[in-house]
Amino acid sequence: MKSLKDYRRSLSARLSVWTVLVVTAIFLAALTIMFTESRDHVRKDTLGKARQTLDGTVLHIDNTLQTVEVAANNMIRVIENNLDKPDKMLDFSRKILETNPILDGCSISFEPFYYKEKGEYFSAYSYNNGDSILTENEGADYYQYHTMDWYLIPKLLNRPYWIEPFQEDATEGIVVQDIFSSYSQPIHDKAGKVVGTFSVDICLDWFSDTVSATKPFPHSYTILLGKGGTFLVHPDSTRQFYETVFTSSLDGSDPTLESLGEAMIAGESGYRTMTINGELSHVFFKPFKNTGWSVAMVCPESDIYAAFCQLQRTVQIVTAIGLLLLLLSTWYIVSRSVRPLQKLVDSTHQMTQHKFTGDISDSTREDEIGQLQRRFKAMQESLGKYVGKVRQQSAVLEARHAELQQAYNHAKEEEHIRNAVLHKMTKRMSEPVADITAVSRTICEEYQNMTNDYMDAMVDKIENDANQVSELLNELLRAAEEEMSHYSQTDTAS
Amino acid sequence: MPFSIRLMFLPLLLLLCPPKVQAEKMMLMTSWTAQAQFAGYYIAYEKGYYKEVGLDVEIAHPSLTTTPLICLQREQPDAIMLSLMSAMNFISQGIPLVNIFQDSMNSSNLLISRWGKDPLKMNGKKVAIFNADPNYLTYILSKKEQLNYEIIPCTSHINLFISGAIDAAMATTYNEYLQLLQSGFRMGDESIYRFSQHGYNIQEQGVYVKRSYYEAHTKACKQFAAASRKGWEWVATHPEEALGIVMKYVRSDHAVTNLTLQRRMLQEILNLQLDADSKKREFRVRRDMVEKASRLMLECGLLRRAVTYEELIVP
Repeated sequence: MKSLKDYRRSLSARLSVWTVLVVTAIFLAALTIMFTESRDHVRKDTLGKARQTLDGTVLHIDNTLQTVEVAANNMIRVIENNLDKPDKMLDFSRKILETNPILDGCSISFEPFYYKEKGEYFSAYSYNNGDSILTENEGADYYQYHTMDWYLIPKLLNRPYWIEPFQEDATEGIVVQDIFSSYSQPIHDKAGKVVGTFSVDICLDWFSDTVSATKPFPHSYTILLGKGGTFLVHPDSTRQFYETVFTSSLDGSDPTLESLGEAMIAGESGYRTMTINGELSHVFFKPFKNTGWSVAMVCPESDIYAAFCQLQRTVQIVTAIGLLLLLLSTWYIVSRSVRPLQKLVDSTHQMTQHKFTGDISDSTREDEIGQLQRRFKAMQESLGKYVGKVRQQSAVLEARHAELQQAYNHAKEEEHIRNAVLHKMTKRMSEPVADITAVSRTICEEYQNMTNDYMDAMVDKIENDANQVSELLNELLRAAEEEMSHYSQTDTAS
Repeated sequence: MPFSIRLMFLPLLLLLCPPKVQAEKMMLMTSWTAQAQFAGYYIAYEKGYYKEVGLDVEIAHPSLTTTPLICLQREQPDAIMLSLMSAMNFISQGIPLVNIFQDSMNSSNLLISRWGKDPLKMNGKKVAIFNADPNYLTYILSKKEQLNYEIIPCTSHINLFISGAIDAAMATTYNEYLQLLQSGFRMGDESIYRFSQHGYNIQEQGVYVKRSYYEAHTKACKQFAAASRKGWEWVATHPEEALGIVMKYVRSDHAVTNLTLQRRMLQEILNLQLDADSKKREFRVRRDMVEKASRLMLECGLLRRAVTYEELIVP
């Protein structure tokens, strides 16, 4: 495996990596801009779709409830015009269910002893169980309807009112297990006094089915809140009807959820981003016109951007594969293109070892590399020839140098000999010269006292010594002449 | 072994295996649907404390649309849970009841304004009280302070409160007050009147039987009280485990509530069981509170005659 150092020394690797890096940077910049813009568009489109879906659901429910209200408002006139016919009330409660299949129950209930012959309790109640419509007078000691919400609230407010969903707990007569919401309104006599209430019931299942069907995204869900924040519809059945949006705040504050609950209960429409069950979610909420309830659609972030994220992942994978292919192809092309350079590098290396015969082939390429290859080859050949010449001349010079060296050595030897001879001659002459000097001084100093014999002996000695010096000088002169003649012969010969 | 010899072992066998005594049946009707307010009784049943003392107790819950008086007349429970003042009212009407076990030692009653006002400045306004067990203190307050409240008996006041059909509502600290918090109401102190802080601290829930029943089943009543007390003491030391059992009853009764609310309720119920003076769980009727309740109710025309401590408690 090649090391990082090898990659650094490889032109093709560096060129490829730099090319890919530059392309990656360009891609990154372009994709970032594209994804940012796209994300905003997707967000707007998706949230718009969610909002539209929610608006559609609310409108559908509002219209249905409006139908219920219209039917009830028409019937209340009939009831108020027939207050003197109590037995008709049972027929009326049945009739409204027959003509409005969406209604599940109907109560026409009166104040205690309003009809003296009916006693304390008189409430004409009909219930549509799906197969048939059952009718009865439901008031009794064990079912004191005068204290119940659906009776008390419209009576006290003296106006129609949508009652919060409730579950009947009557254990006798018509026993109903369903959870209802009732549209209740006061019944007035001709003097305008409230004499009872008229309620029509709609099963909470209808709301639940309609609201739950609002599902624009796979993991989105819808929550329906009552006026007191009760979860009338909730994906977690253990919370539906049993908890409110504020229940968790009894254990500890959850400002985000509380704030959402307060806004919904206040009848606001809006949009919030919040973390629900650890996941960032987008919450749209909108109230119903009729009931005062509020519906919220919770869309997890992952759902909102699901298609976008899928596209993003695909583009990322394609880009990564593309960049890898770009790296490989660039590497291949560049390395193929600069392959002759490697041969030039090898040849250069051989040239440093005085080898000028690298196998650089002829190139047909017309580009810079081809030209470089051809000229390098020519340069290599020229350099080879030149170096050959230089080597030849060098050999001649070396031979001459050897000769000169030899001559020099010889001369040096001769000089040495000459010096030795001179030294020897000089040493041999020094003794007679010293004798001559000593005898001469003695004669000069003692000549008056010397005898002639002695003087003759001294002169003989001086003469003898002078002869010796003269012989030595002759000998030295002769040697010099011989050497001179030798050099002159040598010069002539060379 | 010869039959005669086997007969000799019979007395010993009889001693070792005493004949099984039939457990005495007793039906307790709570004052409301299943909730943590009755945790001690659930625990006494679930832990077998009633069985240990030879009682076969059945715990029943009333429907929301009836009253204890109707329950007494129709379903004839052996024992029923009532507030002290309701029991005194029944006694004054000629229905002799005796208290066999008292679990509340303090008043939990509140009067809460719908509109954030001082309840003592809401003359002539509509005030909701429970139909099932009327809050006599509201009547007394209205009379004493000359507030002339228009009393509205209701089954449950939360929706009345939300709709604005009433101006104020009676509530308990362990239930309706928490329900209002759970419905997003943020009530300031100025809108809440706490009866216990204004000289009206009168005990509330206790278990009552007719005097005739008590005289015929004295031992069973005492054993019921002892086992119930044991149940409550276990709840006080194991509140979370007790809560699990409470929720079992809640689900069985289809009560519209939740664990969070029941947890807070149980905490408050256990606090209300501490006697104001001794700070202990005494599970007894206080003479001073009976006398105060009798005096206040008589003054306001809520009793036909004075009811004494001796009439209420068992000998």
